[in-house]
Amino acid sequence: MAKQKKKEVLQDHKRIGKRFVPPLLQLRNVKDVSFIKQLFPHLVWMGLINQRLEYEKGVRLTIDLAKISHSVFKDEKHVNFALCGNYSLLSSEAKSEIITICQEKRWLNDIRRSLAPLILQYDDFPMAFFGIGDLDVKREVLLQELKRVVGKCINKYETPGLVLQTNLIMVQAATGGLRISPHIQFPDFDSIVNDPDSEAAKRAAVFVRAGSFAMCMPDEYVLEKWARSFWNQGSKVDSCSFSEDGDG
Amino acid sequence: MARPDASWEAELEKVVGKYIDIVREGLEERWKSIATELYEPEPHEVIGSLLARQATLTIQLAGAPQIWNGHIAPLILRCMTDAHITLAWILKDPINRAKRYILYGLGQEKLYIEHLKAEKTSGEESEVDQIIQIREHWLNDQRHDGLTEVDVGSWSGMNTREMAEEAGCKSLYNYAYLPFSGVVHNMWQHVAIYNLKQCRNPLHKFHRAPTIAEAPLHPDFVYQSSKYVSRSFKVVDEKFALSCKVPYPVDWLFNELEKLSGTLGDEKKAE
Repeated sequence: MAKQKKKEVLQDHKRIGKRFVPPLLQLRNVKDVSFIKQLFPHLVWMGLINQRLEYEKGVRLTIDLAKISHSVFKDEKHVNFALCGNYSLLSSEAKSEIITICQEKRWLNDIRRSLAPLILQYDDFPMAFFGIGDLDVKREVLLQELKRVVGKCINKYETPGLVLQTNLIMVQAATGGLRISPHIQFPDFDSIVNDPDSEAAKRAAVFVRAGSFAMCMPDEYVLEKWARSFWNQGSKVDSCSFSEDGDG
Repeated sequence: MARPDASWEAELEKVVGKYIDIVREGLEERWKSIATELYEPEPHEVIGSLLARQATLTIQLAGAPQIWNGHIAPLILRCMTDAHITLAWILKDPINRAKRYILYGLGQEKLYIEHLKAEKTSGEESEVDQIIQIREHWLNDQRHDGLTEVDVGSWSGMNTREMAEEAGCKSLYNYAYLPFSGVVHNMWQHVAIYNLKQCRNPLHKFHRAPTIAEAPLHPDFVYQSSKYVSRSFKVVDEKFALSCKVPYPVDWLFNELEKLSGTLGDEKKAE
């Protein structure tokens, strides 16, 4: 039997001097975006709402709220209000208008209670204008709520994290920021929640993960500002937690 | 691996003691078997020194169980893989390459002496003057420093990977030299594992903080070093067509560790 030829290492890489550049980095305009570092802090608010209201009600509320915010924003540039950093672009009048609408629709209490862990514990939270009304919740309760939601949603491959990314795409589509060619079949987003292990859910998840990164331009100042602020405040909000044997 | 008890550790200590003897005997037997060339002693001195270096390193490692861990043992193993590649490459052309190896080393020594001279303050004779004197004497004893060239490049004129390829040790380079280099140079792939611990608080983005981690002790590091010293013994045996009675350290140690782990297995079965 002929000896099988040994595979060369880094065959698909391009050699430039002493560096081997992977195929993806050979493409133009490729940006290195981190879900956890850059995108997640903008989505976590929806995780808090989903946690409190459960998926069906939570998803509907976050998308409706983002649509209303988009409608009062009145700017030529399309802005996705599923990303919480974008709420800092709103004028005071626009913020008041949003609060009034939420009050009329009886959403305000749910929004305030859901977002309280961020409103009360974090400086510069772009959605802090919702306020907390007469809410009185212990700091420890808020902290545990936030930790639970962050821990649950931070994995972009799992359902809770995928739902947040799906919301981002849904809002983009619902506010006219996404045009999809008619020959592309839209995936079944519901399957992500209803049947997460199915083929349909896997297809939807791939679509969602790829699409959500396209919605986030991390070099935009407003988005970078909140992401940096959120993570840097983590150590102020709560202390480190290492395993008992100390080896992490 | 089952948790060893005190008697197992005592057995291991005995094995290590015998292993050290096997390595020493292997070096001595080889050295006695190679005809000494006094007119041009460079190849023999270089080959002998590198073989002795390999033996020294494995003996030192074997005799210090407290360093059989991922922090320290790879430093020694990397040094051994480097020594083996150097030895194997020199053996391809011993006369020329051994001389080049020596001249490069003398040049490095000369450079160091020059640095010492530049640093020392004028005036009274100091400790530094004595060091310079001793080192210059060692240097001039072999070659007049006025005739010694200083080469700040690679001694062989090529990098270690190229040397390994030429000497037929590419796999040693890829699977041992390369990963151990990360430890020697304190690179991220080592320090991130051995010197950082991950915070589990999700609000902290799973950042990592410094730690002086406990690394488990493992006799496998000694076994690895036995492979490298044996490789060096073998390459010399092949070059000089030697047939030694003392077993290769790796074969001897493998058998002994097998027996030992069998004993441990029997003890566990009996419990």
